[in-house]
Amino acid sequence: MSSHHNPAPPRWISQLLKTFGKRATLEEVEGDLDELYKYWLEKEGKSVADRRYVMASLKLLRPFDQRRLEFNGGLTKSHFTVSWRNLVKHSFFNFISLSGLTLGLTVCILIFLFVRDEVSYDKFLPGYEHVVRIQPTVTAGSTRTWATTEALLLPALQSYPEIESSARIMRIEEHTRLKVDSVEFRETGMVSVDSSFFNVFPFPFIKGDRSNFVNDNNSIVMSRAAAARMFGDTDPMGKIIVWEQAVLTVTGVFEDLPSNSHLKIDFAINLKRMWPGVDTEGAMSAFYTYVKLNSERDIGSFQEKLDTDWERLYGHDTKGVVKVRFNVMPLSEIHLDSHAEKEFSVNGNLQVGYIFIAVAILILSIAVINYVNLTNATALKRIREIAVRKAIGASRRRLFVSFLVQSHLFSLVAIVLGLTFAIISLPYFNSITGKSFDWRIVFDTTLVLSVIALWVSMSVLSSLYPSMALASVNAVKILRSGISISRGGRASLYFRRGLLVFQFAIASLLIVGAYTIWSQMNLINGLNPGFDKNNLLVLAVQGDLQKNLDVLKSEVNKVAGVESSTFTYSIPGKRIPFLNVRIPDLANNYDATDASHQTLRVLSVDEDFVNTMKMEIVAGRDFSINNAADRQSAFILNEAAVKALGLTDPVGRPFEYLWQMEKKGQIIGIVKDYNYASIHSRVEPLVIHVLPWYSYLCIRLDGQDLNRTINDVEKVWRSVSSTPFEYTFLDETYDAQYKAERITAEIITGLAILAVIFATLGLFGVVSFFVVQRTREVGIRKVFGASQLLLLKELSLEYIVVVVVGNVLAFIPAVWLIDQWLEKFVVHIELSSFVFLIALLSSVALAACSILHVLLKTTRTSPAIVLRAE
Amino acid sequence: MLDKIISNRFDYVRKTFLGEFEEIVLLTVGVLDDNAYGASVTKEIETQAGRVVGFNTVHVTLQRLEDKGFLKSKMGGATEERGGRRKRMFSITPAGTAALRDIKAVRVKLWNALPPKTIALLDI
Repeated sequence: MSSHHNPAPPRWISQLLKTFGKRATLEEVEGDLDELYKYWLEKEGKSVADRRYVMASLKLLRPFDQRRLEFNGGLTKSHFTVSWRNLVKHSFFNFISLSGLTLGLTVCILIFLFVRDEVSYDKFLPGYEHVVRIQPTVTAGSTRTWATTEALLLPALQSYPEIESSARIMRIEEHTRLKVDSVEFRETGMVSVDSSFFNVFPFPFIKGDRSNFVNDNNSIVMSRAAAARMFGDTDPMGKIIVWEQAVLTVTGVFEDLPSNSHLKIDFAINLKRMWPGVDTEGAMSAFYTYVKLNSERDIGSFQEKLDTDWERLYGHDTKGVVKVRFNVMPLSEIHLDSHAEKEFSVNGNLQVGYIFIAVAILILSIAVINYVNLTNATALKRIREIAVRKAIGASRRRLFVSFLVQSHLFSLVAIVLGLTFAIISLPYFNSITGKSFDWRIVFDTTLVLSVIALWVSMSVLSSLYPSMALASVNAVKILRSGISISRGGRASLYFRRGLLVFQFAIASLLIVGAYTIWSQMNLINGLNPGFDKNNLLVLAVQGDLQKNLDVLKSEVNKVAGVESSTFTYSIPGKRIPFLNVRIPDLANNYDATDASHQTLRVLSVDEDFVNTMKMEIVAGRDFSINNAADRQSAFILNEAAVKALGLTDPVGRPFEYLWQMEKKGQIIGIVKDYNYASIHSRVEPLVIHVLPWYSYLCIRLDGQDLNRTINDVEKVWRSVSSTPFEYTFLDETYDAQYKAERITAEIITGLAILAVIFATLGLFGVVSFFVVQRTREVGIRKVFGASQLLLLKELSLEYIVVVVVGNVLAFIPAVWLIDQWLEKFVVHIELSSFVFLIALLSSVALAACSILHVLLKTTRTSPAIVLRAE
Repeated sequence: MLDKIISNRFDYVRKTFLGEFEEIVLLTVGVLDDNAYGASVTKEIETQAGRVVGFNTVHVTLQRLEDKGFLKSKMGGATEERGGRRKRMFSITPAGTAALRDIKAVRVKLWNALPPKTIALLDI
């Protein structure tokens, strides 16, 4: 035994040799190696001796030292030749399999990226597991959940011991103008936060740190990207940024937030500086309140405490009618699950993701089935070759393994192609999903591991049946009888038919699904939103303009091509804030059943709003510029508001606001419901009143010579404002809401068509193999007088039955899934049996066309030719 | 075709072909007389032929020669040097001697047949 005084070869290799070396010769080999090691050591030193010892041992390990006495059935070398020949010989069928697999994989990879990104939101933050946002559900007449709270909630929370730190975020309006020296930057993503913000959200700082932000009230910190935009290469630290009247000093630069964060923050300033008395502010719900608990385990008990303590936390007199539940929303779930009012950024929706996952899996199944069926069919042609291999000694195991290897290689090609196509389509994918992936996804470990797992499972699944069936071929029988092609056994027949049925079920499901999505989208696009969205020019009014609004409007109205214009707080597609309203002459019992007061959305506009938007007044009258009282005391409700308040005779009823704002008067008119949010949501109750609190000027154009009109409007703008002239058209911004859906519908339709094509091609492949085998049978039948029509019927019946059964099987899941999907839409199409008929007929027709050629060829062959050989 | 493949298979087993390295190993076993085992053969080839050989190559070759019937072996005595492990001692069989003799005969015959011009060029 080598003692530790003497140099010895590495232990691991001796151990390896002991474990994997050949048992019979182990003793002498170890002895020889020991002896040689000493010899090498003496002659050439330790490193050389080690190397030679390792090399010799490695080469003696069993897998490398199999003496090849077993004959390998001519597989190792000729196998590749034969595989290649098979690929080329059946290149059309292999092309069908390969393109199907590639498409399925491309879709799978893209969907994987999308879904994983969606579920990864905010998980990049250390300690995200125990950060929660507090979202109140307020019941006052109606019930609504908010993403924001009032400022006074946070101080009230401080008595809870389980809170480690907490912070509020208040957004500063969408666009802010920041000045560096005299250069003005129009920036987004500015927030004011509590100084404890960076304790709750420990963003990494690349310059400066969070302590400056805590200590210095005039401090501003910014993201790396914002710093690069504003300061270029120069060091931003200590630079001055002017925002309105505030002079701020840059004290830190933090790393850009990744795109998978629900927060979009580029600048942060101190909330207390902006608003010293904020802690007692209880009039507006504008603060995102985040709490970092001591541990994840505290979430449950924290929620219970909030539930019992809600009245103290709410901090207002509930007057016995307001109920609040403060919900604890874990940080990482905000993106997908929150969907509250006033979200920080648009929430995600995995529904589209689920549809795509389903489509990807279905397409992949069709492709795998094609591969199985076609391999099975082509392999039956190889049955003689396999019999020969077996006869000369190829073991069953070896044949089996060789089939597995073949299918692994085949699907490897599909994987590589799929990954390539996925990477090629990434720019397009990004533009639809708003993500930012690039070719570096190939270094993504989870993706690569998943793809490898998919590869192996796909290969094994698709080759298992053919390999087993073929490896168990009875060589003697086949070689003796000379049967060149077999139909396979009974099990094989059912297996094949089952797969075809499944394939057509999927295809039919996809046809029905795509048709439904498509017609639903058409329905939505064709819906009348309740106002005329065309030829409406929208200008955002802010800054110094607010003083010149009247001039702007009267001058704009004089421009040729302008029909009318109106100021409004919000345009369709943008949010409208809430107020508490009340019908004073309704019974005020102030309990939960009291419908006389509600929290309704209230839109501030001027007198020309209804007219300019071309909305319809269904009862009463519009606001009038000639009626000065309209500014003080007139309200217009939409139909939904009338219904929500339970009014039967609304016009002329008294109406007033509660609490936040003093305004009393009466309802002067009812406007027809119009879609001011999105067509997806039900039209919510709405109150319209005249109040100079405006963000937009909407200009109705006559549609003639748009360019000239816009130029003239711009001239007017320049004469009253120093801010840049920027305009949008309402129909563009409004329709942009549905862009993603339209693209989704297009993609799903495209994929469904491809799926049907692949299923049909697969059927064609299978039919061409199996019908040709019945040529002799057909010949004999013809000799006995069968007509061609009868033969056609006989031969095609099996496959038509397969297609019909597939369609019928798809019926139930299709109805269920489509119902689920349509339910989400307020206005939706009715599912009709017509769609299923279309799917059935089209797949039968496609199947019939695809097999007709083969069938005709077979049935037309003269019996003399077929039977001569017998 | 089948016949051909099958007959090829048996040819493969029957053939008693001696490769160049096999010849060297076989000769070395002869040179070492009754002290031929894996390690000694490896060392001897290195010193005599001046070429570096892997032990694994020698080991496998010795086994192959035994399979072909040119060598026979028995386990020999243990020594302290090898951690008490026994050696597999090899010796040449009559078939081995015959094969070596055949090869030598062929070589001698060929050498004798070399024309004087070539011998001059070879500088012997």
